Amino acid sequence: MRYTKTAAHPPVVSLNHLSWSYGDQQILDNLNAHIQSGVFTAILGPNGSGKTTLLHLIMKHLTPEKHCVYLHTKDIRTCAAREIARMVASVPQQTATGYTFSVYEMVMMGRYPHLRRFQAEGERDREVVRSALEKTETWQLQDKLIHEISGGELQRVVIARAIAQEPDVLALDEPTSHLDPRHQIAVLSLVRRLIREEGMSVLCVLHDLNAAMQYSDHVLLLDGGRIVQSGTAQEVLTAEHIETVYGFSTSIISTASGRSFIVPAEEQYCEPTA
Amino acid sequence: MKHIPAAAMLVVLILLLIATVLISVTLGAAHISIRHTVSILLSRVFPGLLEEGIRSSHVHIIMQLRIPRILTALFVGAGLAVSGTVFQAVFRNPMADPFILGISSGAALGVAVGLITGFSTIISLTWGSSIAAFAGGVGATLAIYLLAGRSTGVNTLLLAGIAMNFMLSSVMSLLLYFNRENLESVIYWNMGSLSSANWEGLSVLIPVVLLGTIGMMLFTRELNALTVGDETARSVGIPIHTVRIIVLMLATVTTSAGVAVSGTIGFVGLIIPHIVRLLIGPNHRILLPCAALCGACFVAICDALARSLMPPSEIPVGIITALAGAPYFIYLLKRRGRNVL
Repeated sequence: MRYTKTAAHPPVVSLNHLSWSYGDQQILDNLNAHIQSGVFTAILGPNGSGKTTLLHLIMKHLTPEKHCVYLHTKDIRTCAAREIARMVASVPQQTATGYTFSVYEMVMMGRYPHLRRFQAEGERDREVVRSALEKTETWQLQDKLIHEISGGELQRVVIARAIAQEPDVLALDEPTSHLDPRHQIAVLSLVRRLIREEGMSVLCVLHDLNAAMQYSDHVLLLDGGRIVQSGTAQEVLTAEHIETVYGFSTSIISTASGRSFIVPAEEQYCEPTA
Repeated sequence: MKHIPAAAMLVVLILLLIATVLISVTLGAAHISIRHTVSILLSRVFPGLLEEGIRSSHVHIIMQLRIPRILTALFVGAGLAVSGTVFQAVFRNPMADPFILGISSGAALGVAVGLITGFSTIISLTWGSSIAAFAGGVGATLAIYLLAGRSTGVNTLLLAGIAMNFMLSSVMSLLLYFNRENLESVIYWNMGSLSSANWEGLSVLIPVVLLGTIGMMLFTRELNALTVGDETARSVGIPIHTVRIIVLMLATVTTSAGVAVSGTIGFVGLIIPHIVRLLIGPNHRILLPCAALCGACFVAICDALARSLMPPSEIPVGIITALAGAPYFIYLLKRRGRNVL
């Protein structure tokens, strides 16, 4: 099991009685969690359960209360945006491709948090970018403009940009929701490889329960702004928990190789009209 | 389309700039040959070089009328083009431009109010008008930012800006209606004209445009990331709200300085950034200086046309830039959707 090695590592992100509201609408209610280093942590939950808000708070896109979010041992409120960018890199759901930057220029933007205002990109920056392009297998695309490549390629380029930031944590918000099945697998496998080979920690909002089952080490299951379950994918993603949180019944099917898959229970299906 | 190398583009633009200045300095009612013109110009630096037989009236025409006017055209054009580029980056919208969004109208209204209330004459006409223009421009920018800053959708932004433009223009018309004695000069100025260019105006325009442009050049990385998206910009550690406000204010003040001396010259901030971006790509480190040079040439050429198309009368240069710009704007609208940003 992949999760076993984590006990030795200190947490990269700690949530300590974290709450958040928009106006008088409470979005997150007293979250407590430690995101372990070097593992894939999936954040799951129905729409409106606060997943994306949580991700925004961990990157200080929204500013949490004092002493609620720690990166390593530092209160995020005391960190400047550039400092956070060197610790956490975000991969959004979708990236606009309106302005025609080249793939290489796009990935070089990942070096911005490491460069002072008057400092030009140096040999080391080019080296980091080259390596990020290679790891994401986008090296051959470097001279293309970002609107010339496919959605799957673009998402890999965005991940390359995030890698170029040399962060400890990669924060992904439904990175596969606009991709076809082949690219979904490619992106998530790439993320797993980054954990194994680069020792990165991954925090990933997902809607696809099976993707979480296959790729994550740890799952935080959110519902109504609270963490209702926390544990390994096998522990959290049971038919009972899914029924409680998502409100529909499922069966867990195991394959001969020992993998588990979640399928909606038989009564959920509607016969196709012939 | 592959982009042109930045160095090649810069060389071409600098040559174009030199050619534009040399040709337009010889245009005008008085016929002064290129040779005499060059001699007059060189004699400012090397007093011994003034050729025999050049009339002192010609020296006056070159040094007090044509050179200030050309310099004004260059700096107004550069300022408008750089500001337009920044507006398009911040609003992530190829149709954002200080003119379309009503920023120029705001600055113009400021100038008109300053003139009518007599505020502008307290210090000096040049500084008073400039400060009034800054106030009007900043007010309009803040209003649009508050109206449309959160939603960067094309429609919200354009509608907010167009509404702003109409509102400010109406207020302007109203002011003029009640102050008819000022009507003709203000209307003529508001159409965009460089005919009143002088050294005193330049003493405000040049430093503001230079400092504003240098200021915006400090944010090229931030602008690049902002054009990709707020998410990307935040991810690479850019405090997006602070950066937006700073660069918008720099762009607004730069635009307003131009409006104060030459009225509302439209479409420069729209088409120049666009053409330059198509040619050399969206990297602001190259885009901003190229846009500045290109905008400078464009306004200087339009002004040369304005002076020489129907002599001895003069067409306001704003009419020429709009005649060139409006069809291009419609062309852009038609091509939207086909990835033209």
